[in-house]
Amino acid sequence: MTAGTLHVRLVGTPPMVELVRVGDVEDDFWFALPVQLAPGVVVTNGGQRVSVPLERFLSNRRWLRDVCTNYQVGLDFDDEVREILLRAQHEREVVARLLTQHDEGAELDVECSILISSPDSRYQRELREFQVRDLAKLLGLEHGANFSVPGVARRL
Amino acid sequence: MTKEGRQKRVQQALQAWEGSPEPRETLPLPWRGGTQVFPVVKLEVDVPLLNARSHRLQAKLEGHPERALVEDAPWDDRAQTIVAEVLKERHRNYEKLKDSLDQEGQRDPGVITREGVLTNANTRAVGLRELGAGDKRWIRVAVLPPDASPQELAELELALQVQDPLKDDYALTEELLFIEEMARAYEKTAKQIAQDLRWATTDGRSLRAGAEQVEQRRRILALIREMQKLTRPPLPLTFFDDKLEQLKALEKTYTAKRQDDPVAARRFRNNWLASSLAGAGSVHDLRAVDEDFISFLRPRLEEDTKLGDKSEELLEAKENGDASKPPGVDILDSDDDVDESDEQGDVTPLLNLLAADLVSQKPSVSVPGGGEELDRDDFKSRIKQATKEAIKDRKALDKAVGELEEPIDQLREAARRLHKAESSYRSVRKTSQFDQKHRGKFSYQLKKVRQQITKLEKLEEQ
Repeated sequence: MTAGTLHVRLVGTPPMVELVRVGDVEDDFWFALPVQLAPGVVVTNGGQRVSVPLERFLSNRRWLRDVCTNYQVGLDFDDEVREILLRAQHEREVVARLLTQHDEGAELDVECSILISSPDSRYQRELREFQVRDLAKLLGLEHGANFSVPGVARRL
Repeated sequence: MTKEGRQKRVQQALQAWEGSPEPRETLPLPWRGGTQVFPVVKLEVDVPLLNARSHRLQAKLEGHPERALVEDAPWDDRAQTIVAEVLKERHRNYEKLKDSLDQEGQRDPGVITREGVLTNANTRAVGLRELGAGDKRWIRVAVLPPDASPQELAELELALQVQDPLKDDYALTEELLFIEEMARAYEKTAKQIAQDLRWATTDGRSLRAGAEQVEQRRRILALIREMQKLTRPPLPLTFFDDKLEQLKALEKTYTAKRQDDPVAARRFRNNWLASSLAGAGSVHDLRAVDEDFISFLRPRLEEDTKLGDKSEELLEAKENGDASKPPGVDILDSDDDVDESDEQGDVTPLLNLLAADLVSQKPSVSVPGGGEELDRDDFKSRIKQATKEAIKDRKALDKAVGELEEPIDQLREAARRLHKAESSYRSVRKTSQFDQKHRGKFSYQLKKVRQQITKLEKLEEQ
């Protein structure tokens, strides 16, 4: 028996995740959301929706899972959020697999060696074995980080 | 007395005040952004209603068995009796306050609404009622305007609290609930609340720091609410009252762990709560409790003559899937609980036992695994002893690791300082100010460094 539901959807540019309170969601649960996910956002007693930055939503999704279970609050995602979450889950699994693939990394290392020795490659030096291994892990990811580094003039 | 009757008594007292000769007693109060002067009238002490919605009461009322009665009919006789009991119980120096009222009378006036509800001086009213003779039959109160809103009353309560350093402080959970109400019900930002509490001035840096303090308090309350959900029966809010510093440390570490490793974060939170319930109260002790604390607690429990063979049941691993998952949560990473029930175990049974003991205060405790009854004090002291010993073991291990790292850390620091010495020497060595005297001192120190390095090298070769 759930105590209310949160409707979760993507809104705006840059994208924010909007959480809409439906049914008997407990106040203590509802008001903890902005406190944990979007400090500074004021949610009033009358307010039934709150928007949080996508990054904060994603980085706190496992906390949200816990707290929804504790308060028995169901989640209803729109297709966009569902897809983002599935992708995030997939990436997490890939990272976990890559990080435990020390012994099985030969195949990836070969791929990586081919990549860095191809005519299009801009690698100047021959990499050492451990460098190829770690580069293979990084190249296996869709992206390695989600932040800008001032001065490098590109997003990682 | 009916509601109308009470309002009439307040009105009559106001009329009497207006008709009395100057000087008439007044009280300046912070009101609607400024200071306003209000008439102070004298009422029989039985006339005012105790404020069942006072922020001083909410934390204690939350765990009160007749809470619903107070919420539903706060002005009824039974609710008023409960409120009076709670006010006496929660005041840090009630008997002292009563003595002072007896000997010196009421010094400062209280504050009352036109409906006859006390905004201020609730505990004093209870004290005067108990004294109940001579001039103690009367209470002096400033009367607020008829259009005072709940928000204005809350703001006034807070303003009176922060401007009087001698006033009985809010307990931690009373303060947390008050802050939460300001944010939820009155839509105040963290900065506004910080200013109301006088945690910040209007200066930008002070406001940011004050707002962070308010937000931290709100995160702490959210964490307390999470922890109340962990035990059956739930822990009373007041259990957390004297633990601000401990909760600050818990919140900081828990929030940091939560994103990287939610399983470890949960274990850490649960172990912290179990240790705290077991009697490990200091910030220093609780700092030694982490997500692996069970591996220190288990052997200590096993050593106990009465609890040793119950340690399995007390730290039994939780079965997977015992909490029903609401729809939709699985997509929020479904694989992070894979090792939730590993060989480490889980403190949940111990938590439940300690929470049940705290709430029921029964003379004996039924220990799982055989249903043996243990004397309550004996049980608590055994659990406390095991926890303290486990904390000691944990600290000893940290210290041992620290001792092993010490020579390496010192050398690292020495290398860093030598590097700095090189760079500062480069910049001064050819200047005229770096004269013979300086060069002599430099050579002497360099020689000492060389000697020390030679000693270390010889030791390393042995």
